[in-house]
Amino acid sequence: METIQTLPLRELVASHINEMRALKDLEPLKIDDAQPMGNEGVGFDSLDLAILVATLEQVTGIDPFADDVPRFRTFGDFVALYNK
Amino acid sequence: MGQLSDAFFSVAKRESGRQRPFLATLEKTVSYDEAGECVMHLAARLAPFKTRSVGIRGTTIATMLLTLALDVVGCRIVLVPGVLAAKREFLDGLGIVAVLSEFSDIEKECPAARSSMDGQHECGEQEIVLFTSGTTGVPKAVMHHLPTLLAGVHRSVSLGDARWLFLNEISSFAGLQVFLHAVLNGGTISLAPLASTPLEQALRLALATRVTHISATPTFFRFLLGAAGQDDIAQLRPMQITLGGEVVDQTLLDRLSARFSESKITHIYASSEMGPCFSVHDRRAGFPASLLTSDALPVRIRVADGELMIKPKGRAFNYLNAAAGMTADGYFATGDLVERAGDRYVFVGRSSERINVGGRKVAPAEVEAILLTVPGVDFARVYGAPSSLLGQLVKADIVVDPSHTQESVRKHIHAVCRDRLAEPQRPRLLNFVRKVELLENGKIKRA
Repeated sequence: METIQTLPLRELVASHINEMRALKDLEPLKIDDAQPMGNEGVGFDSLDLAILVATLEQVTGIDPFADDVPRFRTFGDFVALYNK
Repeated sequence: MGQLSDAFFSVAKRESGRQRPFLATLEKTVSYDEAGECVMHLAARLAPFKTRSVGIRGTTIATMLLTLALDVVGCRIVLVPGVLAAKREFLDGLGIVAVLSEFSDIEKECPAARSSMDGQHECGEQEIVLFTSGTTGVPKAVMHHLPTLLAGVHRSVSLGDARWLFLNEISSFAGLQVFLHAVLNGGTISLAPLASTPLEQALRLALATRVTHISATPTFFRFLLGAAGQDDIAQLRPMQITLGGEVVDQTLLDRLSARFSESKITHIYASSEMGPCFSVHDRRAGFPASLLTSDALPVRIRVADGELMIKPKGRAFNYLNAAAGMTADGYFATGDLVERAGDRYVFVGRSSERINVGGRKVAPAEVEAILLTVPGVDFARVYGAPSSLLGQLVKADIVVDPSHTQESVRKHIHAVCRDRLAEPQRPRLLNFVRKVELLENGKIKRA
């Protein structure tokens, strides 16, 4: 089901996550779709997540949380929010 | 004749025939003799405006002379900032019959003034009106009793030789203070309003007239230090440096102390409503907590819910177009947030600028003060960026010193902020910009 568009987006999100991990002195992760987005997965709390979303909005112009509270658990769920 | 013009003419009389300069620009110098003659001439032309509210705008030689002439005639002097000058309906609503910036405006404005004077009450003399910046709504017109303001002006023989660099508009409290200090002590004013004068020209005038007193915003002094590679700035040797109008951080005080080691460095807390409240001379940011119990100040101070509250000891101010909004026991909420740090209070920003990160309150000035300690950061402006998840996030506009790279500064910022700020306070959204915008009053544009 992957379109050409989703590939760079997936990489974009993963690279932002790893940049933010670097600032927290965390090792870069090889992120797959099943990786949980919370503390136990990519190591993000709600503040990190808000910053990731704000950063991605600057780059993509999309904010999936603007007028909705979509549910997501994994990296795959999260990326899918940007592909709607 | 009012007390202000009285003071002016007593100097003019004393200095008669000595060509003592009163006002200077790069193009022109006006002596006390010339100014005195001109003021009397203007006062005759302004006679129809007696006991009326008359606006003054600009920061030119004409502005200064018209202000003195209005005091001779006996008018309520309304200092109109440039941004309000075109809003005649708003000014009409306050009973202002004319707004003058050039001598020729007197005749131009006179007929309109006459018709609007019909049936109007006379207003008191010896009153002076300033406007609040109105960043959070309609600008408020603050009326001050001129003799009370003049009583607060420091007078000394040594200030008779002072040469003041005038950078603000006269419509700002800081600008008015410089004007009053110069006039009451018989000093010289070098006019270089930043709204219309590039920094290089202001500097040239400062050097040409060998200014002894520089009073400006912290933002101005950061610009000045940023240009400090130039030889001519090294020749600048002011006796007195005064900072006001914005929060003063320790980094700036340290840099100023290093460059101007022989200057007296003071930062002043003042507001359009309360006038000058206290000044700090020890080159440390914030103010001693002991001021809260001091009897030596013109005001009483207390801190409630982290906000600085001030009560005038003498006559309180009035707004012409709003209720004063004092507490039951006469204190005025300044909107300035402070935090206790050891034996001092430090300013951490305006209550209206407080950022709310998921319920955690962040004061921008506190974050800015930290950012300004980071090597390679020339300017920093911190504000709340909207976040769909947490309400607001802390965002910073950063101007990088050209000798550093953006990436190295970004790393430094993260390292320093991680050490010195709590997690929600850290500016994680960084916006690198070439310059920050300056307002007419020399402050950083915040909104």
